[in-house]
Amino acid sequence: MKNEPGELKPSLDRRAFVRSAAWGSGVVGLGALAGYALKRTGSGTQTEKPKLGAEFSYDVSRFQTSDPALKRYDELLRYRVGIESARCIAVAEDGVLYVGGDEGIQVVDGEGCELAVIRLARPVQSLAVMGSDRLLVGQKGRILVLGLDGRELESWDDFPEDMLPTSIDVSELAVHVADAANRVVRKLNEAGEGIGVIDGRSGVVEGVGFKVPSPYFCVKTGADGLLRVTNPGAHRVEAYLPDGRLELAWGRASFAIEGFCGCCNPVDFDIFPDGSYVTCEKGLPRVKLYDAHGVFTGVVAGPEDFPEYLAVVNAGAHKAAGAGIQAVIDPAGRILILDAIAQKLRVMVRKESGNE
Amino acid sequence: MSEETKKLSRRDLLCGGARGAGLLGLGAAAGFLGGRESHDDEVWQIDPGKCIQCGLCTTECVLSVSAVKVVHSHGMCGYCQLCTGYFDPNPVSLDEGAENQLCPTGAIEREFVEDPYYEYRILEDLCVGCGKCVKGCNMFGNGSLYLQVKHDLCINCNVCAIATACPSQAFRKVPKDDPYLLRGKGAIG
Amino acid sequence: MMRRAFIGLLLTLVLVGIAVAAEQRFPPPEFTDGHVLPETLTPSVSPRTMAWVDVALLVVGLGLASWISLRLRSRLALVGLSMASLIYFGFWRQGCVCAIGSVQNVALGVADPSYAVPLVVIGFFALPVIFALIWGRGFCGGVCPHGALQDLVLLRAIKVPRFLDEVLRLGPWLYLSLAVLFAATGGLFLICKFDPFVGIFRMSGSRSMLLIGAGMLVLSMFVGRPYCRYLCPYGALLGACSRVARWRPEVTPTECSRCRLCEDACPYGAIDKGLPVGVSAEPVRAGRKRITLLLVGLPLAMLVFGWLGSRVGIASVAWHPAGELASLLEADAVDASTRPDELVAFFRNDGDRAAAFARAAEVERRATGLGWVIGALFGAVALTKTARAFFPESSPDYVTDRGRCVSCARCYSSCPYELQRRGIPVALPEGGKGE
Repeated sequence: MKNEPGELKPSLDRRAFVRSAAWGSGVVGLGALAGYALKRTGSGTQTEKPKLGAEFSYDVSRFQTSDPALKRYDELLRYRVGIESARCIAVAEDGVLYVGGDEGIQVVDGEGCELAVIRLARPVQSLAVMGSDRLLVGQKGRILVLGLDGRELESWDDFPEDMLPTSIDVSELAVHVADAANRVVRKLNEAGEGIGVIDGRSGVVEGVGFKVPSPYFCVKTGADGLLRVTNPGAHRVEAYLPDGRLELAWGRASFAIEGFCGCCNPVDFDIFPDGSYVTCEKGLPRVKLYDAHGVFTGVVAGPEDFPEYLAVVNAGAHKAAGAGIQAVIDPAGRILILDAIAQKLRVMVRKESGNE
Repeated sequence: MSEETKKLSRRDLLCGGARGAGLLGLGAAAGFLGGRESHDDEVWQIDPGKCIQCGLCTTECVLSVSAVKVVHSHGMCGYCQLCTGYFDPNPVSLDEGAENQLCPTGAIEREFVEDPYYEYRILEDLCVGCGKCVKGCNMFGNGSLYLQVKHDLCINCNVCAIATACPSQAFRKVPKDDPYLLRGKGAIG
Repeated sequence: MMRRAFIGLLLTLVLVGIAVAAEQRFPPPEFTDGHVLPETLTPSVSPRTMAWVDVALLVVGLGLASWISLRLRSRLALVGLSMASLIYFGFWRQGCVCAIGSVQNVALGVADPSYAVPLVVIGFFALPVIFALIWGRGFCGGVCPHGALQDLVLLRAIKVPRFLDEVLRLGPWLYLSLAVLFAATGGLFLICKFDPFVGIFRMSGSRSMLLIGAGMLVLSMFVGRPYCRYLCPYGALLGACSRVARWRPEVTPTECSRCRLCEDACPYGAIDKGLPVGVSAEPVRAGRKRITLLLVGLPLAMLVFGWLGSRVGIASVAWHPAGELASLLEADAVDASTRPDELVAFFRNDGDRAAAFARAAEVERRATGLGWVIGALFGAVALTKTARAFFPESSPDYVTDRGRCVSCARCYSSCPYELQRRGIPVALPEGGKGE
């Protein structure tokens, strides 16, 4: 038989069969190997990610709960605010609430129903009700005086351009404006003219002014006439005489429930008629109660009551740094809390059990 | 014999045809793809507004020490005595002791400026880009610490391994002449 | 050194702190002693990324490789060129951007109109292909750092049994198909992820990466160019191109007398055995058998592998960020504390669930279509290779395999006519072809 080059081997069926079988199983094996390799090296990227050790993780979850036995208030109502980037609230004597944000002011009644919206050109930093008919609106570099219907009555402009009024307090003696950018408290008369400045340098540490690392700086006048000012960088609430001298101070830095957490807290507070305080903190969203001497007495809302806030801070978002918690006490004794991250307002009422 | 030469020239024709078609197709593809707006002069960078500080920047970079480091925008910093990016949540005391520090590699330097202000600087040789201090600063502070790709270290891979793994898709391409997405300049969130 | 530079910059910077403060949304504290805020250091991009120099050097290298392998015919010169390439493209440029990976960029560019392939990458993809179409696989032999590394460490090549060799040679095509599929769906760049040698070039990497690299190196000592022959996806492409090259390396500079001295001269099995002396060229029958098999089997093979490809395409969506997000969203429990990072980021950035699912569905559609096409192409290639394996064409002379030869110039010195050309006195074999 002629040895034809096209068939180098004689046509032995067994040989050909073995060869083709080896060929076939080789192809199948190759495919299986490829598939197996693909499967092993990662069924999705989650399983194969190498993890850093525990010392690399930032875990403050143990601080993100509070003891239920400390709760003094219950939540009555919760609703979404209707103004963009709401950051400040003020309540009038008739219980009407004003919520200020980037686009203006939303006017809400005690049950959360919207009464009106006042549109403004510049973002609102702070609000205060003056008397029974006027609204003070703090904006960067100026303070607007509006009627309660939203009409612009006056504009107080005699301030440095970078003034950031994060809190306005109206008392019989003066209008106090907390200027966070310049780290001073400005005293104004009813016409908006400056009559004094409290710089905090006669405070707890001589010569060192208010420590305000972030735009949260709050002032309120108590029933005893002393002006309370937060000193967030020092984790204190300080009280000043009308002439600017320090009278008393309280507060300490701690992540524990009795202290002020983080680097700059409290961010806001309000005072009850009996002189006790309700304070707000950011970072760990907490609203707490202190007595007139600064002793911790209980919790209004703990971190676990702010799930949207915690979700954002735990995700490492920077906007957590720019969003705080605000609280005011309304004439009925309820505490109204503004959560600037969730953009929600909560109405808290005192528990009946009489824990004092 | 003539059959052989005939077959050879037919093969030559086929090969020549295939070659010509291949070259033509390649040219067309190259021209078509190259005609799109080119991004030759772009490098990888992290958008701090999207970063969630998951820690993958440390482990996914193909280099043994990651090219991602923490940067500090001092203009945004509060210069706090109790810096939550520097200190452990409950420090023993507010000093530079290692037991009080958050950073696992000790890569933040604390310096007293004047009462009550302290300056915090990143030591790049020690930083591994884990973002633990960034988390602390974002949660309680002003957000002046954040992660960025350092372009004196980055070798600018074709496809960045960290970018592929990033769970929040925070990596994007930026022009080579302006290769950073810094905070505090008004642009980034 | 960095520390000193940092402090130096700090001291010499005339940055106005007030100017910085004005830019900020909330101003930093005012320092009474005029303390200057340090500026965030922004080192500019390392000058090593001058990619156009690489393209120019690539052209020079390719030209030299072709000239050395075809004209100069010197193994020594080619070794020198490949070592230079190893040092430059391998260790200096750390193997990235490379021609092998460029396939993925091009695949993505073809499939996704919004992706612009960098011009340099197009250059890296096209230039070796152009040279291969005309002058053979000079890239593989003289320029590619992966090949140069394997060439360098080769001690003694084991002869791989023919049928095993034939089967394994489907590997590069399989890898190419998978790499193109994954890249085109926008998912993973497989070639970069699984490159065994890039960890050695960078002198750093994960432990598994370095172990695999070391393993491949050891394998390369005993099996010639294992990556090139059985894995390299770009090599599959170049091999196909060089099959139609106008000029390719020939073992003999003049004529072949079938003396068989070059039979074992190629460590990579790229020399086709010629016919024994006295036997003439293949009859037409084997050629007809091949074509018959192809005509009959091609539609079937393309259908079967096209379907397989579509299944792989669907599976590949799991590696795509959109697909991964969708599957995580599906499995998401309400409890936020145990969420994986992707979902944490998704919800923090106000993600839209419906849009995420729609994106994943779109990716799956595209992947299925691409899977069909790529699978069918792979089926065609697999069948063609099968046909050529069972019905090999054989030329009378001992010639280099058109597709497999990597132009490494190792075989020249085994041919007596080559030695004669070089002026070395040697006895020429008797007679020419046949009698």
